[in-house]
Amino acid sequence: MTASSAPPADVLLSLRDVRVTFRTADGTITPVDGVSFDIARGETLALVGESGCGKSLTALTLLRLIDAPGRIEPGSHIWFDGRDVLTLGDKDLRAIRGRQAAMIFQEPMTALNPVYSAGEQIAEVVRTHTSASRSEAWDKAVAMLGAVGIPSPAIRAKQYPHQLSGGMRQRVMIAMALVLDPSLLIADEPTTALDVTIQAQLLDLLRDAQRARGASMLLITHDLGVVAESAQRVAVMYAGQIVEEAPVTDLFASPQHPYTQGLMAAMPRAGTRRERLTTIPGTVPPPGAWPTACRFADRCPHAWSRCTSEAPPLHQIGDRRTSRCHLVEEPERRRSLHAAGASA
Amino acid sequence: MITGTTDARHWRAIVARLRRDPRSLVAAGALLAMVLLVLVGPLLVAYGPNEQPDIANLVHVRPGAQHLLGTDAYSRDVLSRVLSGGQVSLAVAMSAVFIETLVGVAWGLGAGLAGGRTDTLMMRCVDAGMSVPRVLLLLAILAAVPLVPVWALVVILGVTGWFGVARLVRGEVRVIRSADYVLAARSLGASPLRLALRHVLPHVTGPVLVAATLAVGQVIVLEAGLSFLGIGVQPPRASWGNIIRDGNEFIASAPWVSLAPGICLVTVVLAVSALGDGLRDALAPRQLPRP
Amino acid sequence: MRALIQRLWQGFVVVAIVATATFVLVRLAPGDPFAGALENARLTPAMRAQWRAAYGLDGSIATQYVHWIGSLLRGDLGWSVSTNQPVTRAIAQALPYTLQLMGLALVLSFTLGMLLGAVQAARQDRLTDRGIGTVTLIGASLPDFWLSLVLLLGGASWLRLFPVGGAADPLMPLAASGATIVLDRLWHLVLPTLTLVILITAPVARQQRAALLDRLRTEWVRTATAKGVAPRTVFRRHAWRTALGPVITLGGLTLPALVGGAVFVEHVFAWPGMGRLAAGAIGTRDYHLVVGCVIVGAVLVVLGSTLADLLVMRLDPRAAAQDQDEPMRLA
Repeated sequence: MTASSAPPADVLLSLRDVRVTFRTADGTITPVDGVSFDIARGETLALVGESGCGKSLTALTLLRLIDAPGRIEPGSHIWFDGRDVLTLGDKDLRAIRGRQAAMIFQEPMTALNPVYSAGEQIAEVVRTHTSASRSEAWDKAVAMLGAVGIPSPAIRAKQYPHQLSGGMRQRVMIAMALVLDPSLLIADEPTTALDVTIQAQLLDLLRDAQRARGASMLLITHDLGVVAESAQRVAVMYAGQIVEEAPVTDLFASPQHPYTQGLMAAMPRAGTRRERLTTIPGTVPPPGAWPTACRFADRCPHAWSRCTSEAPPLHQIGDRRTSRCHLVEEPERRRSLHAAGASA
Repeated sequence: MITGTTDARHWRAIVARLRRDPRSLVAAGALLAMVLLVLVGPLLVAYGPNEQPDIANLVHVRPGAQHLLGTDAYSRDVLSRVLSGGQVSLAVAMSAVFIETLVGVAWGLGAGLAGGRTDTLMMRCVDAGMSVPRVLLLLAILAAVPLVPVWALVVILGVTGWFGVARLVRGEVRVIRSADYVLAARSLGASPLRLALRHVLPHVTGPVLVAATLAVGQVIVLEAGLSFLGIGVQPPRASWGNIIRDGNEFIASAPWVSLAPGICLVTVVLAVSALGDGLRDALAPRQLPRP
Repeated sequence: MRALIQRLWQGFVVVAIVATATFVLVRLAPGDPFAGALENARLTPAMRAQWRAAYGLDGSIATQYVHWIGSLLRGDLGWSVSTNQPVTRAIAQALPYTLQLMGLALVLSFTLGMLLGAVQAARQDRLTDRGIGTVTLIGASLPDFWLSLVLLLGGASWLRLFPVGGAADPLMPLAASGATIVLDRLWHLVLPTLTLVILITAPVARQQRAALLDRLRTEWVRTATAKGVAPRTVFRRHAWRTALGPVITLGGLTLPALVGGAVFVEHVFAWPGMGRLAAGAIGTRDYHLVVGCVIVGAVLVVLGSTLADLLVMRLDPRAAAQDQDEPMRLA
C-alpha cells in the first residue's frame, strides 16, 4: 500500500506520516513527527504517553482543529471512512465533525460554553447536522442526557455548566459526542480531570456506549491502567513519534520499547504493595530540544553508543506489533539486559 | 510579566526593545522636538507672549511672514503665546503627574502593607475616587477657588488623579507580600518601610512608569480643558487651553488662534500615549512573535 | 436581587463620599463661595436670612454638615443665582438634553466600536486590524473640547452643513409638525454626538477586540468547531456572545469620561444640557449649581455602572450565580 492510497474498507481511520509543525520565534518545531496508525471499525486504540509527547495534538489533527501558527505538513494523510480528511473542503469537513467523528475533551469545565445550558449545547449538534426542529433537537438532547446516566435529565438540560458537578459535566460532553451516533469517538484524556471513583464510571460508560453502537474509539491517556480495560490495541507515543504499537494483551505481557517498560513500571498495580513507584527519570523534553538520534536515549536505562548516533526505525515485530528501538535488532544485548533485570 | 529587578541589564533590555519599536521611536522624537521647541522657541520669536503691538490694527492678522501663526483678538503673536503656553502646559502636567504618582505610590504601599481593615477602608476611598468623573470633581473644586494660582492648580490636578496608581501599587504589594523572599525578610525582622523600599518598589517601577507616562497625556488634556473653561491657568499667562479659549469666540473668522495650540496639544498627547503603549509592550513583551 | 441591593448600596456610598468631599471643599475654599451668592443684589434680605437658616451657616461645621446632607436627602440642592430658580429645576430642565446626547452617543459608539473590534479580531494582526487600531487610538487621544471646536469649524462654519449650536432652530415656526421638530433635533445632535462617538469608540473597539481574541482561544470555541458548527456561527454564538460581558462592563467604566466629555461638548455646541449648565455656572460663580451638577453627574455614573453590572449578570449565568466573573481584561 502506498502512502497516498486509501486503506481497506474495514479500516475506519488511518493516519499516514502525519506531521504537524509550529513556527515560533526560535524556529520551526515539529511536535507531531511522522505518526501513522490504523483503527479498524468497532476497535478501540489507546494512544499512550506522558504529557508533552504530542498525543493531544495528534487528536486535534484528526479533525483539523489545529490553530495557526500550527500547520499540518503536506505529505500527511488522514484517511477517514475512505476519504482523506486533509483534502476535504470546508463543508465536507464540517459534515464529518461532530456527526461522523466526535471529540470528548479533557476538561469539561472549559470545553463547555458557560453561557449556554447543557441541553442547548447538545441540541446545537443536532441542529447543525440535521433538519430537526428546535423542540425535536431539545427532546433528543434530554433523551441523550438520560442515556448517559444523568438523573432527571429534563431539569439538568436547563442547567448551565457551572451548576453541574465535574462528573456530570463530562457526561454532558459524552452525550454531546454520542447524540448523532458517530462512527468514531476521539476521547482526549476524558477522565483525567475527575475523581478516581467517577473515572471508572465514566470509562465504563464510554466503553459500553462505544460497543453498543459499534463505533471505533481513539482513547488518549497517560494512564496505562485505563488502557487495559478499554482498548484492544495500544500505540505508545514519545516525543512526537509512535515508539511502540501492539495488541493490549501482548503489550502488557512483554513491553518491547524501554519507554513502554518505564511507563509500566510507573503504573500502580492492584494487589501489589510496593514501597515506591519507579518512574522514568526526567521529563519529555520540549519539541525542538529532542535528541537527534533516538529521542528517548537520554532517559533510557539501556542506551548505548548506537542510540546517540543512529535514529532507530519503527521495527516490525511479527505481524501485529512494532517497536522503535535498536534492541529489536540486537537479541544478544536484549538477553543480557533481561538477565541483569531478573537478578536485580 | 516583568520581574521587576532594578538590574541595569533588565532596563537595558527594555530600552533595547523600545528602540526596536518604530512607533515608540517616532513618539519619543516628536515629544523631544516639542519640548525643545517650547524651551528654545521663545528666544527666537520677536514678540513676547503678552505683548500687544497694536490693539487697533493688528487684531486677528492672518498667519504670514510677520506673524507666523497670526495674531489674536488683542494683537498678540499666536506663535509666541503657543510656545510660552506650551512651557506652562507641559510643566503643569509633569508636576501634577509627579504629585499624583507620589501620592498614589504612598497610598498603595500604605494600604498594601497595612492590610486588614485599614486596607479595606483605604481602597474603598480609591473606589469612590475612581467612580467620580474627574472633570466633575475638578469643576467642584476649582469653582470654589476663584483665580486659582498655577501652583494650586498643579496640586489640585495631582490630588484628583492618584487613584489608579494607588490601586496598581496596592495590588502588586499584596502579591509580593506573600512571596517567599519577602516572608523571609520579614521573619528576619525587616521593618515594613524597609520592605516597601527594598522589595516592593523595584517591582512596581515598570507599571508605575507606564501609568505615569499615560497620565501625562491625560493631565495635559485636563488642564487644557479646564483652562478652556476659564478655571485653569489664568490669563494673561498663556496655556494651550486658554489660547484655544481665546480663539473659541472667533473660531469661524480667525480659526488659527485655536487650531495652532490644538495641534500642539494633539501632537503631544498622541506622542505620549504611543510612548506609554510602547513602554508597556517593552515591559511585558509578547510570548509569541507576530506572524 | 441581593447583588442589586449590594450594588445600589455601594453606589449610595460613592455618592455620599462625593457629597461629603464637596462639602469639605466648600469649607476649605478661600473666600466662602456662599458669600458671593448671598451678597447678590437680586436677593431680598428675607431670602438671605432664609438661606442662612437653611444652610446653618452660623452654626458649627458639624451642624452645617448635617444641614447640608439633610437638604440633599430632601432633594434640595439650593438656589441657583445665575438662573434664578432652584438648582433642581435648572437641572431637571437640562437633564433630558444630556440624556439624549449621551444615550445617542453611547448607542452609536458601542455599535461602531463592537463592529470595528469584531473586524479587528477576525483579521488579527493584519493590515485592517492595525489600521483600525491606529485610527481609533488617534480618535481617543484627541482632546474632547478641541475636537468639538474642530468639528464645529469644519461642519458648521466651512461646510455649512450643520447648525452652529443649540438644540433647535430658533426660527422654526410654532406650528411645525412633530416630524419636523424631531428631524431638527437630530440635525442639531449630529456634531456633538459625532464628537463623543469619536472619543468613546476607540476603547470599545479595543475591549471588543481583546475580549474576542481571548474568547476565540477558549476550549469551548474549539468544542463548537469540533461539533461541526460553521465558523461564522462559532464566531457569533460562542466567541462574540461570551465576549459581551467585558464589553458592557467597559461601557459602565466609560461613563465618567462620557459625563466629563459632555461638559466640554455641550459647552462648545451650546447644547442646553447639564454640562453646559455646569460650565455656565462656573462662569457666573453660581456655586450651588456647580455642586448640584457634580452630584447629579455622580449619581448618573453610579446608576449607569449599576445598570451595566446588572446587564452583565443577565448575560452570564455564572456572574448571576457567583458574581465571580473572570477578571476584566482591559487591553
